[in-house]
Amino acid sequence: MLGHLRHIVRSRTVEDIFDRSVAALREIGLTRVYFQGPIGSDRSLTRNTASFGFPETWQKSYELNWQVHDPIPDAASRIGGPLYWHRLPSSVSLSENELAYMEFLREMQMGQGICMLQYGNVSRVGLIAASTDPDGPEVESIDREFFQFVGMSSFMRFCQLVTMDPDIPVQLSGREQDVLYWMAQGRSNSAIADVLGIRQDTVNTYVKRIFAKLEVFDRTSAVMKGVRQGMVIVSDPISELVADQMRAKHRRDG
Amino acid sequence: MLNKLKGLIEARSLQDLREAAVSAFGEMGVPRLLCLSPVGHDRSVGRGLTNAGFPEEWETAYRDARHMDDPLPDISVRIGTAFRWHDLPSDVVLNERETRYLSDLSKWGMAKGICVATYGSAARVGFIAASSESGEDDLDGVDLSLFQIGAETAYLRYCQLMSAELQYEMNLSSRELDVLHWMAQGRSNAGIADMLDLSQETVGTYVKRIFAKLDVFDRTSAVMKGVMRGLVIASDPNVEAAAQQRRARRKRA
Repeated sequence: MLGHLRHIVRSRTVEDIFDRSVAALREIGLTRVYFQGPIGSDRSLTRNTASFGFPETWQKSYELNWQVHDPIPDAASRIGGPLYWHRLPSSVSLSENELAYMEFLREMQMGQGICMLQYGNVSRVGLIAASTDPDGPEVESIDREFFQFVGMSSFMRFCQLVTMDPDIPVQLSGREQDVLYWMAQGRSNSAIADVLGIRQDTVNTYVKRIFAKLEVFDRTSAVMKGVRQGMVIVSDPISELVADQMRAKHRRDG
Repeated sequence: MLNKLKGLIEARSLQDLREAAVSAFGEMGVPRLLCLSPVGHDRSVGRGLTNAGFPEEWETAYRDARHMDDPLPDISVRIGTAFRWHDLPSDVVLNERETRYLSDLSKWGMAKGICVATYGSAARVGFIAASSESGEDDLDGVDLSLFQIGAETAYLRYCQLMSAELQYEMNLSSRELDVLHWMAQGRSNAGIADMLDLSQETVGTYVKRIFAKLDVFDRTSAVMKGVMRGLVIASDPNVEAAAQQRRARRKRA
């Protein structure tokens, strides 16, 4: 089994990665596989799908109609590991269209399956999904951990092979980084001026410069771009927990 | 080996994960481990450090000031594959302080070792490094791709455990999620109303409800909280789409 993983990470082409991952998954009974990318929060941007063994009808109508109604990537992003799409967590509430898509999957004999999001450099996200034969074993009887290893190995190799141009990272000055940091905390310009001990006009100028450098027109886009480029770190949940507790304590103590 | 890696996925707590990691990487031939997370461009922003086996003397110096001089996380993020830090890629350019830090590593018994960047949900990036007991071993026997698979497995589990710790109540309706998605694209309420074919007042109501549920008072904080909880995927599909187009062009050419 380890041999399969080694084989995947030594692939020379993207086609190799697909073929070798499909072969590895077949070994554990997952005979149907699809890969999707890029995954982003904006569902309307085109995703490429490479499907092995799933019906062509599904793929065609997915691209035409269903992509914007596919709840699976979002649900998977909340799990952070493998997810059975026939057992979405109860916290995921589906819209009518999303329910219709899940129904369509059942019609296509794709009602059961396992998937996970794959995370790579430059904030790249992909999705791998697989299922057994329609009349084969239950998906949940399959080696879930091995599926995860294949998912990780294949995307790891994909990101190495499909390299991004070494984008000249946007250079923000130290002060601009400070301002962006406080923007990410939701502070207004006047509040940032207070925190940094500078004039509000000066903060306005910094904000304008940040917008220009990041090529955006609003605060939220600036912060999101900062997240993607690693300039703004989405704080660790633990630190948020501590902050929440402190706020609660503060409120109690009045 | 595969069972040791599965041990990482099955870890029930951060303590468990640490033990499973020491055991899995020990089997690969590296007895000392450390993990930094989250890693971003700005070295002064707090990175959590988990140390399993590296000298206390180094850790103290590192926490104190030397983290500002450490170039290894940045290099790892840039090249995206595991490498040996005593054998840096030739195109790496170091400044004086970084060079000094790397040469100081031998004084702490960390002259040689392997490191890699790891990627998790919420655009979170980590850094995992390992070396032999003495730090003098070349670690020739260590399979770098296996090392990277192990590191990535451990980091994904780390991110999962961190989020599970909080047990967020996912109480946003799917319409609210739609609105949050568009807020993350920087759309105004009017723009979102257009996209979703709703009146602007309705969007305004959704936005207020989102603020209340996420306990924030502005759009940016709402989106950041959404990213952290996995409600908003922080990736830029345009970036990858561009890379794929380039690839297709190259193939045709």
